[in-house]
Amino acid sequence: MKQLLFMLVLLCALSACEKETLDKSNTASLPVVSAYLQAGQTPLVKISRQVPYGAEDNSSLLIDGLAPVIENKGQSYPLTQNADGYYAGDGTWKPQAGETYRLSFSYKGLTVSAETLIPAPPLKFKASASSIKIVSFSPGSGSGIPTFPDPIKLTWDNEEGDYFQVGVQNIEADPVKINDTGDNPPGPNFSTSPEQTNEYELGFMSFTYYGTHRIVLYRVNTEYVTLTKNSTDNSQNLSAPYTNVTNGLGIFTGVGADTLFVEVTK
Amino acid sequence: MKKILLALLLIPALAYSVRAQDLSTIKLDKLYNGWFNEVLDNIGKEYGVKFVYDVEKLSRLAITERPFKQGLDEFLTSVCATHKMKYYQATDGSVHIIGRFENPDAAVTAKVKTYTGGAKRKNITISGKITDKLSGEALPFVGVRVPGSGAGVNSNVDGYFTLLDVPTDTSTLVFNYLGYEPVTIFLTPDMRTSGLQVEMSPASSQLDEVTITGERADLMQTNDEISMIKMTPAKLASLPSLGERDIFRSFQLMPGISAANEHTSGLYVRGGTPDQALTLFDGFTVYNVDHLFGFYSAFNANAVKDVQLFKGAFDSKYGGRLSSVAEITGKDGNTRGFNMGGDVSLLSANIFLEQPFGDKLTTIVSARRSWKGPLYNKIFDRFSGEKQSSNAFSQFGTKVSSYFYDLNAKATWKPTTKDVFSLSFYNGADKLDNSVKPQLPSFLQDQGTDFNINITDLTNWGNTGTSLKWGRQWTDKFYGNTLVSYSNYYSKRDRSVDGSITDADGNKQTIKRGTLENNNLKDFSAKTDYELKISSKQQLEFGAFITHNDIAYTYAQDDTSTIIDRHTKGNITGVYLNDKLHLFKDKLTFTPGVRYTYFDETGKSYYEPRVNAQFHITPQIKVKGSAGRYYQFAKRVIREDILAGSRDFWVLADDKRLPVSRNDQFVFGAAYENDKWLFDAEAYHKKLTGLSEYSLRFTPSFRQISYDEAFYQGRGIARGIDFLVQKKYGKWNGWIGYTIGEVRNNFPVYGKSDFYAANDVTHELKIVNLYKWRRWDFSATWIYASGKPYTAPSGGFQLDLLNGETTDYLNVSSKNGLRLPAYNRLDIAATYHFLFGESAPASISFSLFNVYNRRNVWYKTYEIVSNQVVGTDVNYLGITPNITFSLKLK
Repeated sequence: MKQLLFMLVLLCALSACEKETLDKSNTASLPVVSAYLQAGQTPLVKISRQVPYGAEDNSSLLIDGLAPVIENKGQSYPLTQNADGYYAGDGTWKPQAGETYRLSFSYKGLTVSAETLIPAPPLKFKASASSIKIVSFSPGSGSGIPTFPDPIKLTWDNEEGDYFQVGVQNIEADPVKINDTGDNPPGPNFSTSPEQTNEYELGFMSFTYYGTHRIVLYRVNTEYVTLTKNSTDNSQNLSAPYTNVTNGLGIFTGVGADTLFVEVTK
Repeated sequence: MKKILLALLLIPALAYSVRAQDLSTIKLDKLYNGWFNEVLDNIGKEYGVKFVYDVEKLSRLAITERPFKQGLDEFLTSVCATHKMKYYQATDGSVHIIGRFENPDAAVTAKVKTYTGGAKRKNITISGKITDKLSGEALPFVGVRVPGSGAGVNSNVDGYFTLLDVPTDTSTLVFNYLGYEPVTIFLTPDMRTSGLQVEMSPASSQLDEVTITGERADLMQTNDEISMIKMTPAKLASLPSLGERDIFRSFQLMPGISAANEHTSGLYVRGGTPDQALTLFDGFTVYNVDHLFGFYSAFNANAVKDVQLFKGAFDSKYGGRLSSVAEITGKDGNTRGFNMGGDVSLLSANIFLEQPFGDKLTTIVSARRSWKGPLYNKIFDRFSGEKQSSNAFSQFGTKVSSYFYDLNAKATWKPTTKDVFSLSFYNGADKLDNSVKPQLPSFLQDQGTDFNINITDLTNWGNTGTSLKWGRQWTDKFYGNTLVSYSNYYSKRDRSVDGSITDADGNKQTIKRGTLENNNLKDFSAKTDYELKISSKQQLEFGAFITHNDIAYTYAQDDTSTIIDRHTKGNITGVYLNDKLHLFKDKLTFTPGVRYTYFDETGKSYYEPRVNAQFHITPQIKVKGSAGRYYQFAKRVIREDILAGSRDFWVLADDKRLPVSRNDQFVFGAAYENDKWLFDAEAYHKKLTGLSEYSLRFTPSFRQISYDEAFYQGRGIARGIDFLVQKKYGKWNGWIGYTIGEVRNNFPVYGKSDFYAANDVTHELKIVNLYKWRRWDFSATWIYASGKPYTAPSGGFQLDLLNGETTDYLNVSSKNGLRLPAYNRLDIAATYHFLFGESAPASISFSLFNVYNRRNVWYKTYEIVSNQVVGTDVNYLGITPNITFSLKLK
């Protein structure tokens, strides 16, 4: 019996003496980059920091005093700070479609960098109609579900199987609601998630407000799709969010955009 | 106390004869008047019967009886009943009178009778078949031993046994089976040596007034083979249960099998994951063992005869999994006549029917179905998550049905004494439905409009399995078993909005949005297994197997775009050989074996050498060890979506994105066992390679997003020690199990360092107490487990998206770098046994889960609130009561 005990103790000792080599890395101080570069538009880059876990921190999240640079074909274009945390080009140059641009800056002793390709603007972006008539209905009015208008069909070219996102924005100063939707009405703006498609329908259920709407079609890169399709919030599957920024977080990506306008009338 | 008892037993020993008599042949026909002990003494003198009783007790009980040619057995039954006593006849013929609720003394029932004449033959072979005395069912894996010699063997799955080199034809055979009274057979020279029919009676019959001859009270048996546990479902009723007697939940009370996973009844064995555990039901593989979010296992205890669980170190007969094997043998059905029974609890109803047809065919059907009682709803609400029902229409909708069911059916045909054919069928499914059908507000319903929208949130999964088996005892030394089987596992998840709205003008708008997931796995298998006894020192086991797997997984969005579409087929073919050797006067059992597999998906051959050894230092103390290699070809991948009921899908390894997994395992242990106690310790070390993990974080390429690339490869180490102290016998019995262990993984995608696997548990302690008092069984189980590792955010950030919205992102610290609070829980139960009507055994069981309402943390969720990341605990189930009523005809 003593021998048995001795063996057990020996086993315990053997299994317990290996050194820990577990990961103790800390990425809490990495900066967060947010930038969408468009062909023909002055680039604007937002740089902020993370909020801490479990402790309140009311100081500004934006990082100022940095010197970011965008490079293309050996040329480098410094960005200047135009507000806390926002850095813009000087207006003398603009990104070109089909070109690759690289952002870099130094933060806390590390070189933060990211690279992206500027996609071409969407081609043949069309709407089947420029306005849609939506009748309001309200409970108790006896009007029933009103007649449906034909939806507005948005179409564009997508032979390459690219990802597109449609953003809809009500540009009225004081938009009027179509129906009474209660205490927490949806906002006037909405967008689709990026899909490999060449059409989208805006029906009577798409709109909540009357007035002029700006419809922007974005051709987006896969890095953006990856970012938007992944967001987890529980401890069982928490993994680092996708980023294309080295030594940093967030997104530095090119988009191609085209815009048209749609009227929602009574 | 023991001395007094001994004295009591000796005082009235009026030993006129030691020959066992049939008490019914003794006819009493006169007046018996006096104290109970005097009456017995008189009868003893008159007819030569030896009575054993407590003088003090019986000398206070007066008797006046006038039997008319009444058998002594009837007389005793009636007299004992009057005085709340019972009697039994020991194997030496003596008649014992004891209290109604007392158990027979093991010392008295010990078998003392042996044949006294000379032996005629030596080193003989004894073969036969072992069956249940009540139902006639064949009993598998019964231990057959010759006390005092090393000879011993287990019956096979069809109940046949062959014992070679039995010393003489006057030896004694002892049959031991978990949950049954031991049976002793004294060989005589004129007894047949083949085709012996041995009947064993279930032990747990507290209601028997007569003839109880010793009882082995343990629920689990652990020290037979290395890393192996046996369980008898018949005794499960006495453990606390949450609605259902559950085989897998009960295994989780043993050391080495993690109990702190309320969300799955799958087996986390020694650092393995449930998909690394092979589950066989009557020979076919069951790929998913979960009912109701995993709270219950898919097996109906009423349909199960025997379960063996190998925590590792399984021999080369089994393969295709890294960690463990659970082999479940279904009941064949009663051979003696019709029987039926069932259980009703707050969760489900369960019924079984058994019907023999002639001598050769038996059938059993058992079925159970959950009902939407309070217990079901509580679990459903806890595990389905609140987020699911919070859609815009839910205020108008009503919850629709949600249930699980399973069905077992089996027919067994024994055309000859050597052949057994059995056809077994299993079908079980879960339907978890959180769908709503919005109703149009009443003010709109009369307007001639048609509003037909369904918001679907449906999770379906289930298994169908069937096997046809032919077992044949070719000769005493050669047994073969051939089986063909089919198994299907499907899992569907539909979260969508569809339907149509028709307006007053008859215009119709159709809507279809959402995601659809579908996993369908088919397994067609054939295998043949043989056992050849070369001598009493050597048994060869060999066989061949082929499995065709056909696994499809699709993940579609909006009915149009298919995001993942995998369809893989593969054949796993192979042979195995196992050589069981008994050496050094049977002190050493040494079993080398090898398994060869060809997997056509990779086009490679896989060899798995394995060896097990056990050495008895003394009859009580043994040391044991095992080394082996294990491969796994089909694996389950968890898609990390906590809201989905079934979150997993199976894929076949291809050696490109998905490597074939391998486990090189060593086990070493020691055990001390006597009649009442077992002390056991086993240490294990596993080196795992070719592990796969799936992450939603897919990798973009230029224009396409490749979901296949979301599989990451890694390796791991699992090691630990299991300790067990078990009190096997007595009114109070139970065990304490403790495991210290760790599981570390290393996936390059997460960095160079190791991290603790999600199923890593450092300390796990289980205390199981069972106490029997009169007709009551009481039980209490306490479980403690160190907190599981989890990944906490180091911080969070908000990112402006293209549409102007901002989205929260959580950045992570080291993977699985923190620990949840420790898990602990106390469950208690009380079961009362009684006779319903004249003879139907019944029981009612009260059970309380998580008695002190411990808020055990399942996982945490995080959100960014006013410049900080805040975590919220999501808890497992709190205090939950249950009542179960069980009844059977006989």
